[in-house]
Amino acid sequence: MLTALVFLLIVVGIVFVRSACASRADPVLRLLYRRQIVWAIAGVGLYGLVAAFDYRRWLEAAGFLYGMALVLLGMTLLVGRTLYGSRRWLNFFGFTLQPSEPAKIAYLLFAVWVLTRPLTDRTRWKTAGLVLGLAALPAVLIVRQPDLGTALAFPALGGILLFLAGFPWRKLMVMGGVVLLAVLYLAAAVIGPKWAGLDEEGQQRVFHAMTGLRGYQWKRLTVFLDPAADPTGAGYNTRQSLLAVGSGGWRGVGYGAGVQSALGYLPSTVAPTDFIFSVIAEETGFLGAASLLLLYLGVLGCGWRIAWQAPESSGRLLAGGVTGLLTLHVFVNVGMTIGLLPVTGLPLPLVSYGGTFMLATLAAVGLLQSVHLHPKPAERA
Amino acid sequence: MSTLMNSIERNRLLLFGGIVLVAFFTLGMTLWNIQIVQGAVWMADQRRQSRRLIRLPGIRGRIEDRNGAALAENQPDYRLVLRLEQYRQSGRWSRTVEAVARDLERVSAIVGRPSEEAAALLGRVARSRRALPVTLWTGLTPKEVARFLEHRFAFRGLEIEVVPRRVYPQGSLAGHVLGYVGEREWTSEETRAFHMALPEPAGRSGIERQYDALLRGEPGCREVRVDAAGYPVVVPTPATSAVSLVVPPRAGGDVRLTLDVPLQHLAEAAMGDVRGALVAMDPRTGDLLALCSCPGFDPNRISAGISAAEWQALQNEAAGRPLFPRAIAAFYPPGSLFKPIVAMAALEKGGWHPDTPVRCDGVFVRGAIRVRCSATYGHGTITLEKAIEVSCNPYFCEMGLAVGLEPIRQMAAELGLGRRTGIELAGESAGLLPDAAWKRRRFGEGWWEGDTANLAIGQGFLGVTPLQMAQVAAAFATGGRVPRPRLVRSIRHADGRVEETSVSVRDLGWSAEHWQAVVRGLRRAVESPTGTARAVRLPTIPVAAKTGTAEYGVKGSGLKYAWMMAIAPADAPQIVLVAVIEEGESGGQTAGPIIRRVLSGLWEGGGEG
Repeated sequence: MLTALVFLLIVVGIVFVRSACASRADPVLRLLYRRQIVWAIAGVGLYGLVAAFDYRRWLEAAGFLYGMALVLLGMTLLVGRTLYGSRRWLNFFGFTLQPSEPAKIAYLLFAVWVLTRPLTDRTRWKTAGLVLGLAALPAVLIVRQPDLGTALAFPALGGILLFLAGFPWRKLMVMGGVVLLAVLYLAAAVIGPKWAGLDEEGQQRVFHAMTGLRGYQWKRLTVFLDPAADPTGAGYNTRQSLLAVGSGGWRGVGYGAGVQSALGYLPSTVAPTDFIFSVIAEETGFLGAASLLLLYLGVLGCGWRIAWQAPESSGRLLAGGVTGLLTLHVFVNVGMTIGLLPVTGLPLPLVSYGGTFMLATLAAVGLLQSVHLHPKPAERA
Repeated sequence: MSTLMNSIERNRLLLFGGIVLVAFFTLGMTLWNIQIVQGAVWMADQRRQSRRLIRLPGIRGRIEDRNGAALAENQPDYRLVLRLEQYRQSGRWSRTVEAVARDLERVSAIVGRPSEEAAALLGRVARSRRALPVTLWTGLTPKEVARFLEHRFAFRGLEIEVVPRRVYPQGSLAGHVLGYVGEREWTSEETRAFHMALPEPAGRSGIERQYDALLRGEPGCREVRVDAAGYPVVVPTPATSAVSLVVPPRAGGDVRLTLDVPLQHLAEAAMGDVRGALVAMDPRTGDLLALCSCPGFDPNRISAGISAAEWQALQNEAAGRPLFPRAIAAFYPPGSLFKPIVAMAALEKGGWHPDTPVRCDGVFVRGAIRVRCSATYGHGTITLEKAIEVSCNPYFCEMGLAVGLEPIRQMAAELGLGRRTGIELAGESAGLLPDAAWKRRRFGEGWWEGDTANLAIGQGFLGVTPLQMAQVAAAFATGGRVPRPRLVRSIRHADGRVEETSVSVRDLGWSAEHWQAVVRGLRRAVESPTGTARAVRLPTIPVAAKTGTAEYGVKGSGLKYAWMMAIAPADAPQIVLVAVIEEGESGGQTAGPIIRRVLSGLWEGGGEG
């Protein structure tokens, strides 16, 4: 069931990446979907490999994997390829890989391992500190790329794991309160200077002084709060995405007929990646977009069931964590395309164009399948 | 322990599942809201985003002379244009420039014209105007067009475009009347209705301007679909193949003037190089058959696009201010041309009798007034007719002082002096008809008899335009029936409906006896060997005329305005002519020959116009 749904999603992804790239002038870029196919095949292989092994083995290797991830992230900062103003990629024998994606999986594994150690007391602040601290390390490295959206995914994942692991309610609420305060502080840093009547430069300076965040991030937030403010600048992508989604209507304009991507209003650099959902929504309408959401819900449902049925805590936590990770990505990505959330860098799992992310997602789904296939620990001879 | 853990974890899992469902539900609801509830709004927004409306100019109407000969019309202008969207290359901009450069080189060789540098050409294209093709060359000859068309399939994105261009087939004839056109400027309200506009002519002066609203027609509109970079969509997708909405532009109305082209040619040729004006009017209807201001200009040169240097040259004094419409806007002292008016005033309103004798001995003296006569030793004792014939200053000074300022002023005002005639052109001057109140305002002094004496001989503060004097001449031609001068005979609306302008005549109620007395004087001026206007005597028909020579400028500088008004034929007038020349010798010597040339062109050179 899970496998079937995953397959379906991959196919959807390939089909619509093809449409999203159709308008590109460079004939090489028009065939990106073929690369997607290659990554998908490799990913499916990886999926099988991961699922075949007992997940407990993977957990044992978690520390090593986590360390490797940190090393790769460090290397990216030093010698990585810069594209569109950020250093996110490493060149590996002719392949370009994005270490932040597998880092999420590595962290997940390591955090689950920490939580399921016999000595770990899940009710103590110390544990939370450890889990979140482990999240902070890759997050800090990723923030410097810069890629704030992806960086925030780590503590978010950590929070989900703590929740699933039974971290006490009151302490969770305290954490939640801190997060809320942070959000309010952020909001104040954006809105405050504006109300005080400062000009744009002044607003940005105060914002930077208060939060240490950069100009373009300030722009993203101001535009999120007031989409009409800058329709040709930072708000452009969101507006174009809404135009695409909105024009889909019930049944969409038809495959390949998406005006937004064809005419370049949705830039061809983001249409097949972060905004692939916009393309799908425009071309298949509400029926198509809702069906896609149901498809994801199906996958998440399978993941949930696997967690529910897992006899051991480690299996539950791992499956729950994977499900949580996938949910996070789907919710944030779709939310961004329909204007619910500010623009972030979280792609749509299995559908967005992106080789490393495809591999990472399929590895994660492999972990799910592994939990499902190995309810009892393997007998060691 | 582990069972407790199990149940805690399971509870958390349940809650987690619930949260996921809620999250997805939110996504679904928002999606519903955007796509279904607000769908139409977004769709309309999106269509608007990629749509460019281009305003198409209306088809400008014609200006014709009284017989329908074209004075201003549209002719096709063949242009070679380039469609940039056909040359776009992916990657560096320089690749697109190269693609364009290749075609430019080839077409330049085929058509035989030098082409702009591709980079410069593309640099000209503003981002906001990419939906429009780029003009390479204008004014292609039919041969050049043919050469291009032979090879047109070899080019990716070049084509011939036909654009109407305003031309004045008669060249500089009646330039001031016709005016010229320039680029239209848009009001802020108009610019809201469209994104771009194709160039449209707008009347800047003359009839082109006065009747611009009628001539310009109705604009049309064309819709072009553009992509995010502003270029028209090259390969339409099913969603963008929608046919561009086109509102066809509509034609404007035509204006038929009262001018007569052959007569206007005659008049302008007769004037030649001088600075001044000539007006020819039909005294019965007020139709202006010719209206010349010299020097003139060629509206073709201005409408085609004029350089700043050329424009400056047209404005300056040294060139004689060719743009200045002297016939209606310049006012000069009329000199002796005013005398018939004084005479009429004295007869009608002042109780003067045509046989009242006055002695002229060469100079009129009264108190501080001292006015010389053209005859050094005087004319002896003369009556009105003779006084008009020889234009005797002392006679008119005597008569003027006897009658007083008021009757003279009244008669002049009745004849239309000091007021605009209301002709269908902007910039008309009202001239100046002075009175005591005016003098006090202007100079802080009172009116004294010397001013009246000056007025009686048409000097002093008086200022009249050539058009006003034509109106006066018409009154003397018809015995006191003053027609309103009209320049426009009829207009043809866009729907074909023809609207004639009205003829309006004011009857001043002159006594025939008095009028005839003055006219006899005017005829004697032409027929008598001592008449000042004998230069315009014709063998074929009787002519009545009056000369005028008005001094201006620094006293003693010798600068004079040379006037003449003529009525022909004197017994049954069909035309009145008024000419004024700056820096002339005298009315008879300078204006006379010019008027004669026109008259003989009409009555000796093969009939009347």
